[in-house]
Amino acid sequence: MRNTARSGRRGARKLAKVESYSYVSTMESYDSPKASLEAIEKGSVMAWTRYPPVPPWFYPILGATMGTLSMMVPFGRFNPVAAVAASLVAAGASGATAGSYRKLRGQTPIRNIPPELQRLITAAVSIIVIVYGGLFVLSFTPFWPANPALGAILAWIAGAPFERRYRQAADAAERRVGLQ
Amino acid sequence: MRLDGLDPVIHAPKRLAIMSLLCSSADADFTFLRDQLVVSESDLSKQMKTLAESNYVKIHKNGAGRGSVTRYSATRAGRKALTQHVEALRSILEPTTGDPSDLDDS
Repeated sequence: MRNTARSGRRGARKLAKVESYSYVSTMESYDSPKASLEAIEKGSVMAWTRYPPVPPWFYPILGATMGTLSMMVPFGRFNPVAAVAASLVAAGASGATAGSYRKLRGQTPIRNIPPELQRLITAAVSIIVIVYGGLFVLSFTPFWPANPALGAILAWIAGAPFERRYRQAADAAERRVGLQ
Repeated sequence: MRLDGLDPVIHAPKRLAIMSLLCSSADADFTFLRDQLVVSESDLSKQMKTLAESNYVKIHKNGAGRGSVTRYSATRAGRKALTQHVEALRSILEPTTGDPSDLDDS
């Protein structure tokens, strides 16, 4: 405030523009417990609903990684050294992909899933487990070298509808708490 | 009306918003918090310093110079403080079940 007074009206206008808040109140505290609880829920929902578009390489790389790791048993029998090298590359690629997306997104939501997203996330995790199991079973057939490519294609195909449904559920959660 | 349990550090709206967001995340970077909460950089730094001094958030700095990234995560103490704060707020909102005549004793 002291700086604003010294810098005159132009400075005050500039400061006012910078200090414009979205849903965060500029008061010292909320005037009711209900308003405080609503603000807490908004912050909690924001962690799950505010994110940049998922890059196109994200799902295929994760799928290829999953496919590579699922074929380690037959690959290990065929060439143990190459299998270990491939698993290390796959684990590194998985970590790098997750790290890049985390950096792009700015944060990683892990707790307090909004109810609108719970069913979708449970379904997605179930599908991932089933697909991984399917790829693992497939690795005991002569087609096991195709697992990385198959994983990448399946993840690429499933990624778009998952993102669309996630966005719809995220929008519904934001509307419920008044962020939209 | 029961006021004990309300935490003065996180009762302020900006710190309440920061804590509720951080308690749902593994961590969040400075840019994300600044952009999503629409607060100035200096204000956010000040609020984060207050929360860090209370041991409610942990600061992680990666790199140096222009490419450096500052990330924040809620500590166990911070998550506990927010939970207690929420419980205190809910207890205020709950209708009183006691006999109103008890208040006349004093």
